[in-house]
Amino acid sequence: MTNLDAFAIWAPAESPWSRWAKPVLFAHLDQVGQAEPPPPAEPPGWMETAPDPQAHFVAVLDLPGAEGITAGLALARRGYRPVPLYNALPLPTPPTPGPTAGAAPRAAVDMAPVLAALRAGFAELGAVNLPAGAPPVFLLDSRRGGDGRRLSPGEFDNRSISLTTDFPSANFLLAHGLTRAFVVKTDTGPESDLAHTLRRWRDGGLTLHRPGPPPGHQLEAMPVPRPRWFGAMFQRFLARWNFTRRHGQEGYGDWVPDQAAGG
Amino acid sequence: MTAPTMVAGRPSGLRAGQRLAPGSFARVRARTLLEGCKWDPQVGDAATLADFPLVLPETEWAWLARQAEQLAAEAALAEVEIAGRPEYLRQLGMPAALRAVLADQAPLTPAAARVIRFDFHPTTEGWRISEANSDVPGGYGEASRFTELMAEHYEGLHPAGDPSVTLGAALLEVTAAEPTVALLAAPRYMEDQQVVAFLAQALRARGLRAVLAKPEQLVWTRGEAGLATDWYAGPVGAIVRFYQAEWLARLPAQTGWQHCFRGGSTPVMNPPLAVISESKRFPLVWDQLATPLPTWRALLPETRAAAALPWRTGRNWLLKTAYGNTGDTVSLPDLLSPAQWWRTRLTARLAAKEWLAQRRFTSVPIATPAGDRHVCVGVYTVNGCAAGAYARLAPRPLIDFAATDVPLLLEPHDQP
Repeated sequence: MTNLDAFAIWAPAESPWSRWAKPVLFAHLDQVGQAEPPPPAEPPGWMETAPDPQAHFVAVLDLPGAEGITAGLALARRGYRPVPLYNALPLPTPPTPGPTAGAAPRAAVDMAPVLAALRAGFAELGAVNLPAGAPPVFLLDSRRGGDGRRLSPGEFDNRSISLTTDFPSANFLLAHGLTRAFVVKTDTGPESDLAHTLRRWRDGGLTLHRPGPPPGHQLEAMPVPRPRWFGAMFQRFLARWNFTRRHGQEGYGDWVPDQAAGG
Repeated sequence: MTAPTMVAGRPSGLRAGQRLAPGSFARVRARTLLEGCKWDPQVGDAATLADFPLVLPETEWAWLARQAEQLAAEAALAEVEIAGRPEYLRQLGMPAALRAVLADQAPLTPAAARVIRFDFHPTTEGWRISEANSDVPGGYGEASRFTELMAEHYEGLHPAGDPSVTLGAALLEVTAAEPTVALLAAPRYMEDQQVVAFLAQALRARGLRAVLAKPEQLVWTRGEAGLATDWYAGPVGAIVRFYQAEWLARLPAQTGWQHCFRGGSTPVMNPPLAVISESKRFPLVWDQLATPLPTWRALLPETRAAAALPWRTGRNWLLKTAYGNTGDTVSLPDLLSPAQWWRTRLTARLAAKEWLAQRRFTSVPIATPAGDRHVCVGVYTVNGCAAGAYARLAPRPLIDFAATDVPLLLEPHDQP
């Protein structure tokens, strides 16, 4: 299996949602050591109440590491098209020879389990005969902003953020008959970067839903408070300024950019 | 086949080529993504890779290349003159910390290479530039790998050059003693990470050791740079800085960022004074210089301080910041709501030293298979010589982060 083969399975040309698949991990599938794929796990409780793909839902899974892929493949078996949005460089690849300071470099976010799950899911996804019009389930790594620990100075900083421009717009979703969003996320913080996308979708006319609490996990409406700086002008510019201002203190920007409003 | 574009009443010869067959383009796209490190191929609903080329006669390219080389030569002279005059530096809108380092008397850190990308637009007055990307120009993967892959499908047409190859050759020369190159970029922003990842590939292909890092991982010892990372610890022969100068100036002084500008002995790309012509307020000091800038004056629209813009009449002007990224702050009145335009003008007034007004030109769109599109042809110079092009298209007269990358291919002049 080449990187191109794997990408063609995870982002087939015939799916209108493949355009959004993030390529960075697929560019490194053959350069990172073969980690063990995740062991088979019991499907999460919410899976039972996941909406039928014919019910005009777009799904978003914001789950840690390989969990998103495992759950995404389970939803693929039910008729959703998984769209990987993992956007972290796994390592400063390829491993560089020479006077290294130690063993394998440590990364802020360990992407090896995600890479292993993408590789392991290749055959399974290829065997699922999804129609071209299958609705998307977008897969995110909820660890993308790091785990809150302070990085060591020599560590590889591969933290990432999710932008509104990583997703189709509400208009595009509505034009494809998708009027509702089913969102599963572990991050409960009010300032999640994903909140900007969800709020835009809500303002654009989609209704947002999430699995309710156990044991029933019945679908419930998902509130998305207006994030800070939502819709501000020059957001990309300000986000970068904000990030670099905090960068020296290893801080993490507390808001993320939208589409540029200032033109 | 599309009609020739008329620029200033004459055909520039710039045209769009035919669409590539869907299957062929899907393969080109996938290879561009995975081999060319194009990791942002979709921005919202906009696909950022065109499935057709822009075609330009070789003679027209030769003219653009010559203009770019003259612009680069004039900029280099002006930068030296401005660096010696702190009062000029103040007018450029750069952070005080950076200004202080540039005004210092320590020797300038040597240049590993100098890359500038001049953004040319076909307008009703002929080709004009909107700006020079003088500090950290990007677009190498699109200008190199994407263009090369598309060119394979268009017989008789060829790329204008390969800036990554030219740059690799330049860096090879300066790293003879120590073949390790540190490539610096801001974490978290894949649009930056993809640039250094692609350049790292190009450098490794030449036998260099390319190491990705962030600026805080540089270690300076008596002016010599090294890296202290978990994956490489040792000296470096050159630094490729894809980290804007004004961002570096926000790092704590103990990181030694100042050595990228003065007092360092390890060559850095881009060189210290690049930040001067990177400022979009660069034209505000021209009249005070002994250095003539005839090509800049001919090609760059009139520029004024934002505060000098008449409040009620200003619709023939655009506003932007002295230092910005991919058009993030470029503000055109007819692309904004009246309230947004008013807020922008107020912002520009309140932060007058960081903003500027540039007289608008009338971009001439060309017919393409995707509809009429405005064009920007970014011409690279590497060490003063033209080295390829990064072309983009947009449905409105503003080229920003959501623009479509399009390969620029050249044709012999006698072709239709």
